[in-house]
Amino acid sequence: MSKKKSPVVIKLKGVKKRYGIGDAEHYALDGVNLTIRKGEFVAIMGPSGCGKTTLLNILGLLDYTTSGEYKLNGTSVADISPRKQARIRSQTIGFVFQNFNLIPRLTVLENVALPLTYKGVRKTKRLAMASTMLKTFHLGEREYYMPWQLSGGQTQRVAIARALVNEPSIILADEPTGNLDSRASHIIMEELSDIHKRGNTIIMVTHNPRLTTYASRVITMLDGKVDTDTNDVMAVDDESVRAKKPLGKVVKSAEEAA
Amino acid sequence: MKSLWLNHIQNARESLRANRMRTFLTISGVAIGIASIVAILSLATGATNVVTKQVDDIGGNIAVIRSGSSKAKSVTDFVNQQAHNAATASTLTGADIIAVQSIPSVKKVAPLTLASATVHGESTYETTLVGTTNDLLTMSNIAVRDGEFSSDNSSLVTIGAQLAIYLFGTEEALGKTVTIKGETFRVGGVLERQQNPVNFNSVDFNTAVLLSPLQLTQLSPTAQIQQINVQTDSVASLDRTVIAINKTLLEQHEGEHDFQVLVGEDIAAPTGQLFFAIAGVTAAIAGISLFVGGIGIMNIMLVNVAERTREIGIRKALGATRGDIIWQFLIESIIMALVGGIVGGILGLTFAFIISLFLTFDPALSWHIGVIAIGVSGIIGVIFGLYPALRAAHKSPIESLNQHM
Repeated sequence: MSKKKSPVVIKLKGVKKRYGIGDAEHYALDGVNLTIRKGEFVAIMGPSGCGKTTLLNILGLLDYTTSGEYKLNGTSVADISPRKQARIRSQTIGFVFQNFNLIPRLTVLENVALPLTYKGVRKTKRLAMASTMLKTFHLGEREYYMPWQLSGGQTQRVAIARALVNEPSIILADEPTGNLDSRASHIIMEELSDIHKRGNTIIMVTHNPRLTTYASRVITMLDGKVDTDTNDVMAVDDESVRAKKPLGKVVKSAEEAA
Repeated sequence: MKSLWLNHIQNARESLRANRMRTFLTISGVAIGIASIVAILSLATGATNVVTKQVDDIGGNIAVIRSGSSKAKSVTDFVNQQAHNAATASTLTGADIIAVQSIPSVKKVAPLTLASATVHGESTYETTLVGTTNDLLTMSNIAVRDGEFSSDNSSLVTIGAQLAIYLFGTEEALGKTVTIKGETFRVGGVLERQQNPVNFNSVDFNTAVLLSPLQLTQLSPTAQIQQINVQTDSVASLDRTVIAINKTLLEQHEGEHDFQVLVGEDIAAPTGQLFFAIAGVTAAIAGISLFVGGIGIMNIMLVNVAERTREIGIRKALGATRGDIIWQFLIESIIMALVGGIVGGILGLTFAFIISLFLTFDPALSWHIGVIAIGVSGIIGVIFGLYPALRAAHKSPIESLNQHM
């Protein structure tokens, strides 16, 4: 398989994330082992509260593991200084949030240009780049709208444009099609698919099993662990009883869950 | 990096503009504090300038001998020194005057002996008795309005114009009778009204009683020689004379350097220091209002940070470093403080000019005051903005993002 030859981007080993303390202790992630290679389009599924979003936040360096190891491009994240982590968030990772997270007092254009600010791009160039990016998402005429003046689908496209404007190699999307209708969802998935084809790694959390058809690999999570993984050769979670299920069945079980 | 700074400034401007009322109130807090400090400093500097100018007017051939070993270095030293007419013994003696007089280049010597007493005329007033000679008046450019100041006649005294009003209700007090410590004197002279109660003799001649040194010692045996004014025969001989005075007095005092000979601006220094000591204390009180202004900034910045918690999370997720977040908020507080400083500086100077309409001197306009106003407000901005900024920067991105406002 050619995929096996591409370099490992993300490697998680026994990653745990604990919330609360004492009696209220709760493990959102309870020993996740996962290896993701460059150019993969991974869809993560699972019921609410299984730790999908926590996993994505940890992958995006927004949250920290309680124990276990997370290697990003071969370097253990624990050894990276906060300053370098900020640079990685700025240049390597593009984050699409579940609830868009646009800054309400900035225009659409300024929102999209924001990541470039922290990369040190000059204002004129920044706005020009953001404008180009918005045009590819057919939002050229919405540049000077405020976020609250947009429809849900438009807002999400702006959020994706913002995640992509820095040309990150890893895109983390938390329910990018969240509460959109199927038409808007498919437009967005087509965009993500395009980005994937250009050689970027995409990790997407979703509730919608139909969207997994765009993915090259589907992972389901349960109770803070990786439950099934279509890329069964890569599945290192040997505790899982359903680790060797074929793709169709995974999708079906996910559909039932949803 | 440069573009990042510009961005921070633009950001801060937008955020401040978005909350106009709040920004205005915060800025006025700082402005009031700065305004009071600027007004006080400007007036104090103005008062000191008056004394310095006086010394300049008198000419370059005046030296002043004062008791004490060295120049006052701190406010405490200086306050002690000021109080020496009452509390500490002056080291200057009558013999010193005679010794100084014998120096060839010395033209005139006038002692300034001080005591205080209650003076009875038609009414009563507590004031300063000055034992001196006519030379003091010529050296200090003080004219006698009616009569003359004579140090020979032991039954006459000369009084200040304002004292005459206090005692007799009129400046026409020539020939009237006053009683000091049980002794009766006749008013032999009334001084011309002085426009500068602030002067290098540290005596308000408008309310003083002038007597001869002999009269004063008889009235008040504890009276001490506060200072000796010396006039040389020419400006050129001043330096030489100062050295000679030092030498003579050192011999007189058996090698102990418990006096100081001052020329030029140094003469005005103690008065200047007095004003700055008073101004310092007043400014410290005004500083409290500045402090309150600073707390206002901190308060508003904490509100800003709380309101924008989510934004901070987003910015961090998009690659902002802690430093970026700190600067974003710090610049905002610095801008508020600086604007407050500039507005306060202008207000303070305006205020000082208005007050000076009721005073005998003008406030000083100097770049120092501007630098102080802007410097202090900048520092206030940093100090009171730092904590909110640090608090913003150290929020975890995910906690900030999960916060719903």
